[in-house]
Parts: sequence; C-alpha cells; structure tokens
Amino acid sequence: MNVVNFEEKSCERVRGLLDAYVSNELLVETNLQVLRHLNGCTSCGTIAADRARLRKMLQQAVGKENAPAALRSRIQREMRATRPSRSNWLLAAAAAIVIGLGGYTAMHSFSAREMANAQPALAAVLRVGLDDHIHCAVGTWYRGREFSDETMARDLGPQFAGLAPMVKSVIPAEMKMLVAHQCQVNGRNFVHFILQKQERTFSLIITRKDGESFADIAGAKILNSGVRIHESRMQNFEVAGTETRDFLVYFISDSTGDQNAQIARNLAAPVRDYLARLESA
Amino acid sequence: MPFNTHHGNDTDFEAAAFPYLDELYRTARRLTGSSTEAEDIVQETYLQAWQSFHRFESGTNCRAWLHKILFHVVQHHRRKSFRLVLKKDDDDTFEENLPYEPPIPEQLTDDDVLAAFDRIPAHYRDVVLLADVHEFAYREIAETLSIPVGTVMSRLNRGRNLLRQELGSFAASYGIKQTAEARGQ
Repeated sequence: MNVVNFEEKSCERVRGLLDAYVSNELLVETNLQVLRHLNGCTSCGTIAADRARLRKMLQQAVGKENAPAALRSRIQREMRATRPSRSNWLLAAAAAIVIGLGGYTAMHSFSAREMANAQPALAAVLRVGLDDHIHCAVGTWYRGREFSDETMARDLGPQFAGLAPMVKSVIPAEMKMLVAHQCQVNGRNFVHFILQKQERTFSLIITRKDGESFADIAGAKILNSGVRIHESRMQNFEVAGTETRDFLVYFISDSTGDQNAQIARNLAAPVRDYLARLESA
Repeated sequence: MPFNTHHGNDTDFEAAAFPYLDELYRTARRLTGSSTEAEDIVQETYLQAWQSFHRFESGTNCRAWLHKILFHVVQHHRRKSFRLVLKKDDDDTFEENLPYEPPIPEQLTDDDVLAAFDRIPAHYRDVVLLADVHEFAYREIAETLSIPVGTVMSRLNRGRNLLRQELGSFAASYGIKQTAEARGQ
C-alpha cells in the first residue's frame, strides 16, 4: 500500500502510482486523490483507462482456455497410483512389532525385498542414485525434446559414450532412450540414461563410489549373470542397485517392481562388463 | 499416525484443490507456451500438493498455496530447459529504458494479446499473470515467487510496459499491412 503527499500534484507523480491504482493496491485516501486527478486530467485519465483496458483484454484472452477434460481424471489416477498401499503400511507395522519382539524366525516370512525397506544401510546406498533420479528424471523438461545419438555421445563424454549403443541394444523394442548425459547433483557426478516405456520413466544411473558399498548388506538377489542386486521401494519409486569395483549402478523407475527388475536384469551384466573394461584400462 | 492421514483425505483435497484446475492450467499454459507441458506441470503440481496436503491449514488460501507450488514446478522445469536468462539489473533499469508509454491499439484479437504476452521475458510474465489475470495482491505474489514486494512492483511495471510495446508493434504491422493492401487496390 502506498501513501503519497498530494500537495504538489503532478501528472508524473500520479502516473507513478497508476500501476498500484490499476492493481487496487493504493490506500483508500490515496486512491481517492488519484481518482480526483484522473477526473480532471484527460491525459492521465486516458493512460489509466488504457491500462485498465489492457488488463481486461489479457484476462479475457488467457481465460478463454480451460484445462482438458481428461486432465482431472489423469491426476486422480496418478494420485491413486502413488498412494502408499494399506498392505505396505500393515507390513511395516507388522515388521515393527516383530522387530520389537525380537522374533528373528518370523522375519523370514517377509521377502528379501520387503525386508530391504527396513534396512537403513541399504536405503543410504540406494539413496545416492535415487537423488539423481528425482533431480533429473522426475519432471518433463526432456519430453518433446529429441536428443540425437551424436548429442548423447557428446553429453556422455568419451569414457561413457560407448554405453549408449549397448543400452539401446538390450532394452525392449517398445522402450525409448530419451536422454543420455552426465549430470551433477549435490556436487557428485552421474552418468544418467532416461528411458521411457508406456508413460513410465526408467533411469540407469552410474556414479563412482565415494566410500559407499552394497558389499556388507544382506538380502541381495543373485542374477543368472552373477550380478548381485538389491531392490527396494523408496518414495514411491522402485530402486535396484548393484556395484562394480569402482562404481555404483542403479535402476530406478516409477513402474512396477517386476518391470523395474526386468530392466535391471537386461542391463546389469552388460553395464558391469562395460565398467569392468574401464576399470582395467 | 493413522494410515490415511499422511496424505489427508482425498475427498477433502479434491474439494479444496480441483476448483482451481482451469486457473492453474491457464497459468501453466502461458508460462510454458505448450499445452502438453502445461498438463504435465499441473499434474505435478497437484501430486505435490496432495502429498503435502496434511501440512495445508484448512481455511487458509488454497488458491495461493497451489500457485506457489505450481511456480516451484515451473521454475524447476525452466532450470532444466536452460530457458531462463535473467539479467541481474533488469528490475532496476526500466525507468530509463522505457520512458514512453505507447497507446493500446483498438482492434486486437485475443490471439494477438496472447502472442504479445508470450513474447515478454518469463520473469515479467510471471508477475503480470499473477497481478493482472489472477488479481493476486502484491504481497501474495511476493510470497508465491519468493521475491520482495518492491521487485514485484518493478517487474509489474516493466512487464506491463513491455506488453504495451509488443501490442504497439502489432498495431504498426497492421498499419503497414493495411497500407500495402490499400496500395495494391
């Protein structure tokens, strides 16, 4: 709110208040004084009327467009999809009770993946990749943008450019590789592939170890290729992680656990072999 | 904590938030220039709002709260798209740069107005949209965009001037076109 001394009325001073006048931000007294000036000054009155008219025109033009009819149901569908399920909550409550009772045997009735949800050590290592996924792949900045193979190779850099054709060759035909680049989150570098299949987003994320390791964490699944992989659900994302000597590797998605595990199975061994070549170079 | 209080009650959320769906979509549409991107941004806004609905105080301004979330989402997208180029001194130099106030042409279509609006820089567009289209108070705009009220006022002045200039150039192009057509006849 603005107060002005009108002892020295001038068009310049009134025009300096016109923005606030049009926005209805002036105090009542000042507003009345501006109105009086506008009534007696054709030049300022015309400018004020012009500004008010522009405001109306903009309101009318912007207001013409409504949200598509399907958007509301799409949002409701996503809300349902991201809601934590009652069974998960009950499971967590049951696990807490079991832990409280020291019932080691009873814990075996939960799968390794469900158990993983309760392991802080695992969550801490998986969190490294998840942070990059949330920072870089959650959102829509890359949608509708096409990155050529040359661009992706450039953005990956010479060490990791060879990963792009390898990834393309092992992902399902209906899955698209949208982005391949190096990015940085919290000062840490990541090699990041964003893949998409039927509106679901998948990430392959690689980062150099900085003291973290899955080595001492129980509950890994051993794939046929020999890759040890940890899986969990964190913040409504499916997160799988593995490691090589120098790198941590993550497979993360907003899809189902089964689909994320499938992508992890497809990519884990070729990525491990690629990284092993880098490590031995 | 009971199971369903983490996200609040779906019905309460929908009753409080969905009345603003059109308005949020229009905002996102103008800020992004793309209907597809606007839909994604609005969806993301609603999901974020829903996930933090337990922190929303019933009876407070849901409309302003939703807009604040939407602008956070938009800012995130802009950073990703490398579109936002903001000169540090832009907010302080408008008086010297824009002393002339061109009149608004008479015969303009809605599309002309939108095309002109879409051409002004994003950080001015944000403020003009909130102030002139949605009629938020300066204080609410400052809160929504996390900028001082003085910056809101300077950006609004600059944004309105730029919009008038853009519309003035439309008028000039119409005049040229009409003159050419008249010569042709």
